[in-house]
Amino acid sequence: MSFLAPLYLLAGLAISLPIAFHMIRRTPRGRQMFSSLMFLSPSPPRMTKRNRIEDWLLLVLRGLAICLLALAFARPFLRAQESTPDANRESQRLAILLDTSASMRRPGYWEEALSHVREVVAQAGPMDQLTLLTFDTLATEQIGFEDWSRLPVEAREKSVEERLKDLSPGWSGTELGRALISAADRLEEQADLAGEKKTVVLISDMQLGGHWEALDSFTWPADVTLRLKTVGTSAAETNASIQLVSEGQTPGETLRVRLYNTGNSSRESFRLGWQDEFADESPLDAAPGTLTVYVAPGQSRVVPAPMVPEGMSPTSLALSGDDVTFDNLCHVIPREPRKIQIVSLGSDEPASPDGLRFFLGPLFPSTSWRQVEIVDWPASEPAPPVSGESISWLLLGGTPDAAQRDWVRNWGRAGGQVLFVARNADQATTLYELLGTPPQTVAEADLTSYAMLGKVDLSHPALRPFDDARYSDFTKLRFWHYRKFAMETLPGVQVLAAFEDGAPALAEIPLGQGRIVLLASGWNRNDSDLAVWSKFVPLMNGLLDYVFPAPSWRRQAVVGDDVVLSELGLGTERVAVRMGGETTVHAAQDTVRLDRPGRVRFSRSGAAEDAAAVELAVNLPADESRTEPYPPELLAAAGVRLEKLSGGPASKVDLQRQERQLLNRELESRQQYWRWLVVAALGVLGVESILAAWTAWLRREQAVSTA
Amino acid sequence: MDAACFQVSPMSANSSASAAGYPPPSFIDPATLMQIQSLELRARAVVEGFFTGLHRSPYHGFSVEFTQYRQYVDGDDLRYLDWRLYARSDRYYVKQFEDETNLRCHLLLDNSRSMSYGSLSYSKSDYGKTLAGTIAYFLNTQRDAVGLFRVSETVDEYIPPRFRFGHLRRILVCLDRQPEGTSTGIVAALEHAAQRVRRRGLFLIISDLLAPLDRLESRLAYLRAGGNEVVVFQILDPAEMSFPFEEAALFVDVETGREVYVDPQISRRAYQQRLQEHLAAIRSACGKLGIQLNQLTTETPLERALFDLLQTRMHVTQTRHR
Repeated sequence: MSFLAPLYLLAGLAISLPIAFHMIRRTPRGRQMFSSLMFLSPSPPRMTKRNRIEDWLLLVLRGLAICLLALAFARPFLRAQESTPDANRESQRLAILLDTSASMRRPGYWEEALSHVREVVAQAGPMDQLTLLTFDTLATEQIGFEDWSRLPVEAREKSVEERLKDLSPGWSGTELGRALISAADRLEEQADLAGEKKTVVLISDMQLGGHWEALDSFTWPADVTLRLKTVGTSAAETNASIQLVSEGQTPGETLRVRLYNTGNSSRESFRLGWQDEFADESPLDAAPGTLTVYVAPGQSRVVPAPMVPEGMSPTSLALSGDDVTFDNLCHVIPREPRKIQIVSLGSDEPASPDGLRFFLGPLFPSTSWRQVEIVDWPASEPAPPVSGESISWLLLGGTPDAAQRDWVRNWGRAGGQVLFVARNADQATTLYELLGTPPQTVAEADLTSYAMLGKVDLSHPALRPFDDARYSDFTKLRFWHYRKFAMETLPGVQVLAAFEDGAPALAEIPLGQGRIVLLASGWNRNDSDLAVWSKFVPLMNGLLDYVFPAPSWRRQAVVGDDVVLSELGLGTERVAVRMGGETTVHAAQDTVRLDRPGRVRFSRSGAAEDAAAVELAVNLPADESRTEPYPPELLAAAGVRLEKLSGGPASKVDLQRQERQLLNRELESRQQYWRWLVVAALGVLGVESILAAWTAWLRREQAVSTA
Repeated sequence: MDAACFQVSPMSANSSASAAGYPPPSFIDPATLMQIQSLELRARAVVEGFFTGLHRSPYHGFSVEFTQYRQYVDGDDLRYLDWRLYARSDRYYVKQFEDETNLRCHLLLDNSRSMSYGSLSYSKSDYGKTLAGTIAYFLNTQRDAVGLFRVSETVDEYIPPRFRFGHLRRILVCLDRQPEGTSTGIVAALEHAAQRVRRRGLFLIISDLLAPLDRLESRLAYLRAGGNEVVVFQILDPAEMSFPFEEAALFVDVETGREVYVDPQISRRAYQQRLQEHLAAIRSACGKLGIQLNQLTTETPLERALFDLLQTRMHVTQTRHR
């Protein structure tokens, strides 16, 4: 028999108390004054042989009760039949969850993590089932339960070791919550094995930016426990990081970056400077062009990037001054504004507010992300002064001559985008010539006062921004004059907006690979209120985005993002992707995952110098730089059942002692002999009380009779 | 005097009084009476209450007897013929009785420590002092001379009997002192008292008589031999009679400080038996000597003690004149 709390056996020494009480002669409790003692005789309790025997019985009972209580408090248990825990130990299912996020690239972290994996694998019994998962933003199975079961027992550790050699921390962020859920689900997959011990062994640096929030919406299985193997908790390190916040709003404006300093940092001064692709990894010196930034621990600060040194074509912003270097680079691709060329064909004076041309400049201003150029097509020229390929949109507000009509028709059929504004009935008939359909007459609408739009197709992409009750009021737009086109004369027409009488006001007509957008009334003062209407600029820019769409991808990406190659608009079936010095070729419909920071170039396969190549700057996720230790208690608060909190490496002796203590506690809680001992003690005390009362009564009766 | 008729036990005092049509239904509760600080006020309250009860009573005390005349008939003693009346009225009248002198009463109050015991809110000493004061007050109203012995082992203090202004107060002041003696009996003091008193009178002994009876009888005989009337008030506490204690304790003698471990449940019966033997011995001794014995507990109303005294004195006087 063993005892969980053997020190309580010392309470058995209390058995001396009844003996002491027994040895001490009974003394009266009080004193009573009395007038005279002449009639009183002393009556001390007499020790007879018979009394002594009875008292000895009481003494034995009291001593027995004390011994039983002391035994009960010592929590006895039998370990005879369960002294070999390893042989009879129940099999368990283990899911090792190894963190391979970018924060594990810190010096020493990965080696410590691997040693934890080896330790867990070495402790796994032959009947145990094990799976090895790695996770960053995704959980990846390296060794499955079935693989483990198929492996011979003696070859398991070696197989794991070989698998570990191929693993290394990546550059992705951390999705700890999803990884834990994935591991718990794998443990729960086989319902017929419910009842065996299931444990997730999490080997991670437990950084603050680990994203455990997914656990909040997950019910952690009751039979799955989490064993934490925290990596690198003893290191108190300074880690600052840098992220691009925004590019300048105007072409001359510099970038703005955010510097974040972790809460456990000991330093707060860092240097920031530009680097080109040939820079080494030495810390930034105090050369011109570098900037000293002070960021308090646990805080972030947004600062403008330093000026680019003259004669340098930088590729990234670099940070120095902290202990951790994996997140000290911010790759930047300077943004090139998108070039938009709008050609205007018409006779309007650019300075005259009565015409259309006057409004083009304010309608399409240049910004930091687009550079708009408006080119006038002289009436006498048969072709525009710029090449057709560079023209984004052709605005036809006048009456073209035959040569111009031919050029526009051909250009449109080749994919050009034309905006035809009907200025009057004669000019409107030109539309049919552009379309190549039989000429039709177009009538001027007979208006006594004004006309309004009767129907607007808000589902059209160009008008979708107005598809909201707050913006869909078109009643303030009035037309004084417009031209009535017959719907049936316009092949393939799609009406975006129609007047009250049903005549198209804004319509889209296909022309070969291109299209003509028809506006039945101009925005000049005589025709309509369009130019002073509050929705006119959004409307025209919406049309421009519709006919000349901007690319959907962004130049700044983070590791882990997926790029759909078809969205890059390269127009080929094979796309060459150069990432980190390696070039791979993918099909155009593929999706490429950005798995490392740096510049990634997408180009048409086979072309040495592709002008249409797309280059992206890939950076680390911002949260991955939040490397402060994350308190494991928060996992418990999210419902995860923690087995125990492991700190630094414990010695093997300590581990064995802890395991033995746990086993003892489990045995004792299963047997619970202390309950029976307490019951026995109560029974003995009851017998003792009855016996004592009977003895006292008997003695009193004897004394009275003898007196 | 028949001694048996004075053997009034505390328990039987009520029955004897009721048979005489007295006392009145309302006594002063001793516990209430003892709350009066002044001994004189206490004595006056008892005596006045007693007189209120005597409103229609035939008793007139025992010193100043009622005197009456009746016509002379043949056979009467000529010594009692009132010649002066005959000279005035030419008729023969006989004086039926006339007391010769005032009574000389000696109050003898036990001053020993055992009298300081009391299980009630007052002690036997308080009760005895009040009883002595009451009798002194009563006798003073009867114009009798009252003296006082405060005795323990010997006579602690002696005030000779007088009837004069201020004498009652002197007696009451003397009575009001706390008992200081440590003796266990008054036997020796009785002898001293008997030697001091030259003229015979009435001795009222107020004591618990909780002492060995070796020489008590002889000393009481001394007093009786001097021609004194002796009345003994033996005052006991109710707890001394019933011994109501339950738990075993060290019982401490208030006189000697001796400690004895006693289990009342074991010793009660023996105690009561010995006490009754002691009381019986006292009764026997008093009976032999013709001493009136009144055994009282401190619960007994004082008027009843006074009444018992008067009743027995009346009886003695009538017996003597017969």
